Amino acid sequence: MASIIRVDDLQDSGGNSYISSNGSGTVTVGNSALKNTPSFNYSLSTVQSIPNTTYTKIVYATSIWDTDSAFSSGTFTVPTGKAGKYYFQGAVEIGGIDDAEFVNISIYKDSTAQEVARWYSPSSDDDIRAKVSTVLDLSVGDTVSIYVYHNEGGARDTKGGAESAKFMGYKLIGA
Amino acid sequence: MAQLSTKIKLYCEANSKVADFSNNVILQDDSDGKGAYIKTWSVDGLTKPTDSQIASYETAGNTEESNNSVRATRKSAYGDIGDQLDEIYKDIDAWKARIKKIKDDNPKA
Repeated sequence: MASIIRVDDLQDSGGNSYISSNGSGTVTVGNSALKNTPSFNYSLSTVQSIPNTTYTKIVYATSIWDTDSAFSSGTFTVPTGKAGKYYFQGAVEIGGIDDAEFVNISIYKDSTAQEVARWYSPSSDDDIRAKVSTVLDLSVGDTVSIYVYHNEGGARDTKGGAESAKFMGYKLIGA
Repeated sequence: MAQLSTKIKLYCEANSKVADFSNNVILQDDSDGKGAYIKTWSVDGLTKPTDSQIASYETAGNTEESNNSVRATRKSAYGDIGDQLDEIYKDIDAWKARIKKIKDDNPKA
């Protein structure tokens, strides 16, 4: 026979609330260990010129959300007390990439690439939407940013807005 | 201003070396206003260029980039290689005349 327990506040033995409800279905998680935060999502609002064969940092500057205000000038910095494993995803669109040329998009921890995805152009003068994702184990003060690279020959501009040029990430629960 | 990659390429060619920008020369720009720089250099038998050596390729770099733009314009105008083979098969002289006009219309520096 099924049973029901009705309670509005779950607390540990020390009296610390870790999940509560207002009785009308609105739940509040009281402990950061149970939240996917810090969490951020930024888009690229301005055109950025990417030189040929040069890993170039993308300066995502338009905030969609940023729970801990830990993102600045295209870089996420792990805040105090928030070390752990994080999921990140970056995307960018670059125009004018010719057949067999490619765009690399990389997730950097500090100054070192941790994950690189390569996207080839299928035809002449095409717009390439490149995307990369990874999970990183980070310490307080570590920085994460997105770099792109192409081999078109000349400098090429980024394109698109929030639908094709975003950088997002969040802390994983229990990892 | 010529791109750093162009000037590095010319520096290597002038010393009978090849710059592979996915391998032996890694360039980076941290978007901090300081511009692109050489992050790693491992061209066998060739020392990393100084700032003045890189700067000495500015004019040649601009010419190279101008010519690269011309090459891209010509390549686009030439069209698909399969279509060109068909043109050659049907009338090679007409094909040669078309290619010559593209070259004449888009001269290199």
